[in-house]
Amino acid sequence: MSRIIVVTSGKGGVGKTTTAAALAMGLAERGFRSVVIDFDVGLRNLDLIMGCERRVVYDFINVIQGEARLNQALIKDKRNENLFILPASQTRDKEALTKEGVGKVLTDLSEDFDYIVCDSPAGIELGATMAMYYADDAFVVTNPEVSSVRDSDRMIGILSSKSQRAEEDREPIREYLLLTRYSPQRVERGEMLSVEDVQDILSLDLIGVIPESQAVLNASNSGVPVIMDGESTAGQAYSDVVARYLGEQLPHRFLEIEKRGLLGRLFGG
Amino acid sequence: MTTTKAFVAESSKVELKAGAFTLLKLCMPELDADAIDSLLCERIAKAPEFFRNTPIVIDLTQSDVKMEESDLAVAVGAIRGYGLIPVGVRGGSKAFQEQAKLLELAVFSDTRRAARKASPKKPRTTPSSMPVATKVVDTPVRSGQRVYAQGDLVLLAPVSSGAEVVANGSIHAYTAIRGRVLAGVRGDEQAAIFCKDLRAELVSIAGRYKVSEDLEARFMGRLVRVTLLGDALVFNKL
Repeated sequence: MSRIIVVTSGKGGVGKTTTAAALAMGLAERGFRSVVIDFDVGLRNLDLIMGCERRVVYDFINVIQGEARLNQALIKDKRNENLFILPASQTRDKEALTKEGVGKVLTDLSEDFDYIVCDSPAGIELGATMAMYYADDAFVVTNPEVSSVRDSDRMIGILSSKSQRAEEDREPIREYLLLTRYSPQRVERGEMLSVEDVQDILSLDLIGVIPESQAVLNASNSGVPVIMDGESTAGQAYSDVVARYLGEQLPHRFLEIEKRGLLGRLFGG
Repeated sequence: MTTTKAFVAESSKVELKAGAFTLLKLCMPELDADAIDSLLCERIAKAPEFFRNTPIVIDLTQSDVKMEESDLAVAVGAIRGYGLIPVGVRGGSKAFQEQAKLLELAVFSDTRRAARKASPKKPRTTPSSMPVATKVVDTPVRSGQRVYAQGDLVLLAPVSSGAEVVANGSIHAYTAIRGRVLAGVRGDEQAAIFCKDLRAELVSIAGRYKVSEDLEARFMGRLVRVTLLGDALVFNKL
């Protein structure tokens, strides 16, 4: 039985696609067959972050409209044989997503895969509601600032009312709060909301905190999911998130300002 | 001096107050002592204890017939004969009411007719006597969501900024309210808002409101009761 995960936020630019890529890769690294789908039709980005932009032939919309078979559109990741990518169309718009079409594709995928990660577009319009409609779990990606927190809150409300689970009155979508671009320094200076503030406002289970890191930008530019960069704090934090999602109990890291040792202070940049 | 004091003390125990009583009415198209006689005979035979010393009003508001002045005295006699106590009359002609005054009976004003005239547009169904159930919400009210309660509203989970909680009655929040909170939205000025952690964007009772900019900082984040006094919202820390 596969599980459908939606990565969503409401607001744009908070790290949804980075998270979706990291999550799918992290699950694949642990031996689960995973597929990540780009729902951002018309503004696709996932293929860049996954480093497969030059291998896109058919896309999600082609499959929905019956112009291609699912196997033709799925791109196999070169680094991990368990991971597949279903890219979005850049030339269509989101109206091409239909509830029946998306449902059919997800049903077909669930026969082959353990985890289906849906990378939602920003906003609360069709693309976003389609991405969440069939979800079992939701990662709500939030930056520690008020507009992002409010948009996430709105998104959580929509998750609880407009999903298939809500409509069929089944057990609701499991929601996890993922705080990204967290900077303890800026929290201390009062420029950012703290983990406690965000949790207090959203009253949601915290699955992880990803620290602000140059590694994320580097990873996007080079088309390697940041979770593969085990040296970086962001990469380690994403590994923790995957572990927690799979049921491991791990303490949250990178919440405090890093204390630099004497040598670090003498020789550090 | 002492007497005056005693008088004041004594008189303060005497109070003039309004009270509403349910009275028995004897309604008829015309004053007919024989008809009264046969009606009372039949009814009182069924429940003699019920009618003993019961005050009764002779109601002629449905009558258009002019009375013989002597008729009233005869009717009153008949009624008294059955153990009832006639206390007044209603309706009827001027002469009829004069006759009632002579018999030391009160003349009740014909409020029914007046009321009917005053409010012809009042078929609004009065709320049923069943109290409206209190609505209890135990999941967070998210931004963009709206919760409405017909009676009182009890909130056990936070109300986010951009959300709205609305009740005809009072609102009791055992957590933080960061959104808009409106009590007594159908005009109940007795409605109140109780909030454990008030950070609302807007607070309103029966249409009077304050936005967060106008809320005093000392009430923010506190356990607060909000009531309506006249046209002003009154905030109290609890």
